[in-house]
Amino acid sequence: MEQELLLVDGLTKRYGSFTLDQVSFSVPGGSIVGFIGENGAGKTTTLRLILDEIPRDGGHVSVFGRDNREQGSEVREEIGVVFDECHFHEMFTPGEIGKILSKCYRCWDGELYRSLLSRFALPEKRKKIKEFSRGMKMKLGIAAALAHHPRLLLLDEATSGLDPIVRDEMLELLQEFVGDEEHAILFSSHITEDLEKVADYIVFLHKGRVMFSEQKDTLLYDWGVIKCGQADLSRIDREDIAAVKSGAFETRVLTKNREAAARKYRDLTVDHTSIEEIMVLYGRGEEQ
Amino acid sequence: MKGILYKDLLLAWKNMKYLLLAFAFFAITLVSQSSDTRAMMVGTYLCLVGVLTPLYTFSYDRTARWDVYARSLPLKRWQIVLSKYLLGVLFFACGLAIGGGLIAAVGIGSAPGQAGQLFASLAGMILVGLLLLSIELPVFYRFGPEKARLLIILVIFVLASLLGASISLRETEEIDLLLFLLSQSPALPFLFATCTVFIGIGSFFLSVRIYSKRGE
Repeated sequence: MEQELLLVDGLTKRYGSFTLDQVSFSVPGGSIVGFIGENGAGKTTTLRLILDEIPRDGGHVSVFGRDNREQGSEVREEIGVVFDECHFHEMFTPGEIGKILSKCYRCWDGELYRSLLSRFALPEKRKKIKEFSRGMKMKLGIAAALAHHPRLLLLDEATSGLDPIVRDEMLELLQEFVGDEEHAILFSSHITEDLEKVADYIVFLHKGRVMFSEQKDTLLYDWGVIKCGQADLSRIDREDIAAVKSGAFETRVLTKNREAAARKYRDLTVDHTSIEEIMVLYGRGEEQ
Repeated sequence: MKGILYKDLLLAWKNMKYLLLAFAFFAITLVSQSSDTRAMMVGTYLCLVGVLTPLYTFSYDRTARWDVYARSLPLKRWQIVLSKYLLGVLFFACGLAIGGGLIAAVGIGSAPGQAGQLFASLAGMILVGLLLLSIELPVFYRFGPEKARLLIILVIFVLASLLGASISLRETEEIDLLLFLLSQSPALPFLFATCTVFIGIGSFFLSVRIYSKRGE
């Protein structure tokens, strides 16, 4: 039975006009959970609440079965975080970053850090971070996040702005990380292509609310899109419609049971869908 | 907490060339001074570094948006805040040790009581430095380094003006703070030192409160 490494239950945070509303999902051991949503949907706020960086207005977060607020620093000892940008001072070298972090984490593994730097072809002492490319900075972030043997990795747009080769290298490393049931990743990203490659589950956040939390394969193989004209829309039963987006030439209807829809509406085209298309249909489609 | 204190010390070390350059400029102005004044001024310079170092580490932290990362580390809020206070105190301790050492060195063979007077002056400066640190750090946390810098200049100006006015009103020639206070009442220097310590503790708790409320 899969153990939940991260459990988010009814998490709520109010910021003026924006509310992160009763967000609930879980991250089982040995899995990569893709966390998607439009800009401003509340993904980073959720990650910050998981890390107990900001106070919450409601709900509960349990990491490794422990309350993230009551045992915040102990919990963070076992979490690795990679942000969308490098937050290390540019005048430092990777070696100096290693020295700083070795004094922050009890389980810091200098050997592992050096081997990761070597694997990523990052110089330990010769170059300062200001001389690094974006790809190099992100690799340094990953090396720093992994070198204290975390059990849970939180990635906040960690692959954005990277070229396909570096992204592929990083995705390979992430898959290695979740090789056993003891490790898991919550991967917030806009690059749905990356998530289609590595994620096991997808949580979709829209305007501060979880629209769905599903297995990736369910989305890609069970869900589908009915392509039809505006006039055909009235023929489709409401229970078959998860989201709908009308365009000038075509109306696309997201359905959660592609095969059943194909049997039911034989004269309409029912196709496989993608995570990006699901995101767009939920994000820009009409309210159902 | 050792890690982020080490990070700040590393930042200070990286900027040592600027500190040394400033010190070289400062040293030129000391050439014409007597050796005891030089010892005093070196102590003063190190105290000034104690007040300014947390300020520029804050500026570097802000540029790197380090705080976002620091909050993900296995540290408590108060430890992140305490590291900045310790950084300032560490520089003051260095100022006291180096300045005190120099005073002791030049004090040998000088007039009796002169070294003691210089020590009192140095201790007074360090207490004023600690007071400034106690004022500047909550302001940093609340308003950021840019506004804090302006406020610190204003506070130094106000404190210097108040001290100057007080000295001229009382028609004393004593310009060393502790000696001036001692000339008014023997209890005043101890009261000032005690108040500085309590203000420092209050400042720390205020900074923790401001820092913890960030992002709400």
